[in-house]
Amino acid sequence: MKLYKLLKDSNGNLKSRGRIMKALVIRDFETRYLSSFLGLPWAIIQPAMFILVIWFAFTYGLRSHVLNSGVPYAPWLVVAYMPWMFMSQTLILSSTAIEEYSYLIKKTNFPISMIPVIKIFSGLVIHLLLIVLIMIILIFSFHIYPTVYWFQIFYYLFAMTVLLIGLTWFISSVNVFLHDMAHIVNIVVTMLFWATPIFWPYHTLTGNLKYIALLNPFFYITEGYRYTFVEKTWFFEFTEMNILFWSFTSLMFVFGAFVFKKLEPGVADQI
Amino acid sequence: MSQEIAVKAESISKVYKLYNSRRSFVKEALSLTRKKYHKDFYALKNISFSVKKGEMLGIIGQNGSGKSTLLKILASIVTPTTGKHFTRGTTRALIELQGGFDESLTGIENVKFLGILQGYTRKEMEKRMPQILEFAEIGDYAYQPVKNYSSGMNVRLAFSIAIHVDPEILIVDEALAVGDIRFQQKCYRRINELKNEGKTIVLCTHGLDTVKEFCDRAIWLHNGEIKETGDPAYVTDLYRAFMVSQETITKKAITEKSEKIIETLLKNENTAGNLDQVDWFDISSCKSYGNGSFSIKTCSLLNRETNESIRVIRGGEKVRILLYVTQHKKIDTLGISILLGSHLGSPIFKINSHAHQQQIAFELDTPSIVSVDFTFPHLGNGQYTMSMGAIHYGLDGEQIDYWVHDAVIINVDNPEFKYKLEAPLVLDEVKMTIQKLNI
Repeated sequence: MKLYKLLKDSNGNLKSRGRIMKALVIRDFETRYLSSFLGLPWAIIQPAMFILVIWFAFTYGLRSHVLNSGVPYAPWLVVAYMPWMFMSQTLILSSTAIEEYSYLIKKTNFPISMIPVIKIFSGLVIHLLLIVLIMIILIFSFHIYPTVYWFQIFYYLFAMTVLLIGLTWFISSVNVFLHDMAHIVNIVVTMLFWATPIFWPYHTLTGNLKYIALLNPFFYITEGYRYTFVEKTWFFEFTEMNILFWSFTSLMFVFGAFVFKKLEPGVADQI
Repeated sequence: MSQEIAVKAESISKVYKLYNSRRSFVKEALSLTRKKYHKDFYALKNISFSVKKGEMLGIIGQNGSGKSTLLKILASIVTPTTGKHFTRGTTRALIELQGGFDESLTGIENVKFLGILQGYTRKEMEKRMPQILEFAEIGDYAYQPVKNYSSGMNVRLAFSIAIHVDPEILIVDEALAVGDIRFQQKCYRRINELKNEGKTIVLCTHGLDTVKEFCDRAIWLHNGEIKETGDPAYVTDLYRAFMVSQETITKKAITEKSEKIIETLLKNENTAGNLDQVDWFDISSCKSYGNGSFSIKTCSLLNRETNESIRVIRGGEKVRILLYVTQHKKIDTLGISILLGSHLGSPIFKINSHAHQQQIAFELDTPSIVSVDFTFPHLGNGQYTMSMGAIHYGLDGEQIDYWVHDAVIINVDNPEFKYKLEAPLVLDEVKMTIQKLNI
């Protein structure tokens, strides 16, 4: 009897938690994109324009630049740039996310730990739309057709979310107390963009630099998107890479959760 | 009323760390030593109490006494530094005027959004929407973004949501003060209904009459501590008396400096009586200005017949005001002026040594006590403030040499005036007769 009650209770709680989460993600998505007159298209136009420029430049301008693997440069770049765009934007937006929700934190007993997750999910909506868009472009303009490898996208979406949750918990909670965090994140993200093999192929690195690149968790994701869409490689083919990524990510997750729990009680006093 | 406890606070303390600068905050966060770079500020000190289910608790206290912090802790918005608290049942809090609105959303969207955050479905909220809007009476503004709302509309909507989401425990923080009188009355009626339905309510307000009338119990917070708790009538009376006299400084502080004067005063025929009983008001924190030629250090208000300090006046008493003054520069025709104002600041009467043709001569740099005797007029019940200063008449008319704003707060309370008169002056004898007309 008692157990039944417990189950029912927790179930009900979980349900309403999910509902709250959904409402918040929709709300966040709306404020991010739907407040402008044109609305949702803006969310697509910006990345779509970028992809279009890349596609145009490398297909017509620079004359089909083909990599060793036999993949044209344009789709090879675009599929890696897409997750990078999502991750970098989420990191930057999440650094000030808690302050953004101060109106709720200060007046209601709002679950603060949900805020970074909201940011990730609302960004994920656009990211999923972009993935669909890219798939269409891949099929129709590059004649790269769906393979079984494409299903790996779900694995990489999961890996990316876990990585981002740990990072954003850390970044967003520290920024409440030290506003310098947002600036640091901006700089680090810019640096990482050039340090991660996104625009240039990984194999141009030599010696120890190769190992440094492997330590970069963002590389695991961007390269993973390439495996998925253009390079026909399974994620488990490189053991070393998996071990490094998942140890970093799980450590970051625990560390982020620890820092967040530690700072959370002071958040309402600080903002 | 059941004996089940709905809200409980166990030795709650809240410490705010005050840093001089951001740098010292970083220093402390990064330092490996245990050196402190902050000052501790105790917003709440060891607060314990419990509220039974269906009970209504009123929390009163000065600004900065910790009321809001306490309510925020009860509403789980702020985490206490030490101590435990729990609330049994769904809780809805209305803190500092706003109910957590997103400024860019319309009223209706906010209602839905907040409802979902409280665990309701969109459908359930839509079902409640007409009731909520009807109670809030904000008309078509419901379709406007909340940023365009007046503070009154904001509170109306926030309060309306709070009471329509069926909270078992309602926490209200001074929010209703912004609403107009009609809305306030409506809210209190509703609060009373909720109370009768067995809901638990914690209310924090400056409206002492509200606490007296609605609450089952009152807590008086002072500097983060519970100063008094118990029967609302008793607690509010104590609080009122405290607010009026503020902190009276003992006669000692004066006598040390001017024992001689007090002595001569005691011997003096006019002021004969026991001046030991006199409480002097600490007016050092009152707003004052002047040109340096005159100063008033403290003052006192007594009943001339009993020679005792008084705080509450009925009207018609023979009173005496004592001013402890010093003249620093020579000015001819210097006189004393006293102004009694209503709680809104409008003047009620003025005493002026020139107008009343009273000649007083001051000795330079010698502290002296000026006593002003008069009969206090009959005034409507309420609070009045007394400002005082020194003036002289120059070429341009009245010149103020020194002035203390609102030095003394006087409470006029005459139980014979059962009904509140909105005008300050109360007439002594009013007779009404009625005559039937045979037409």
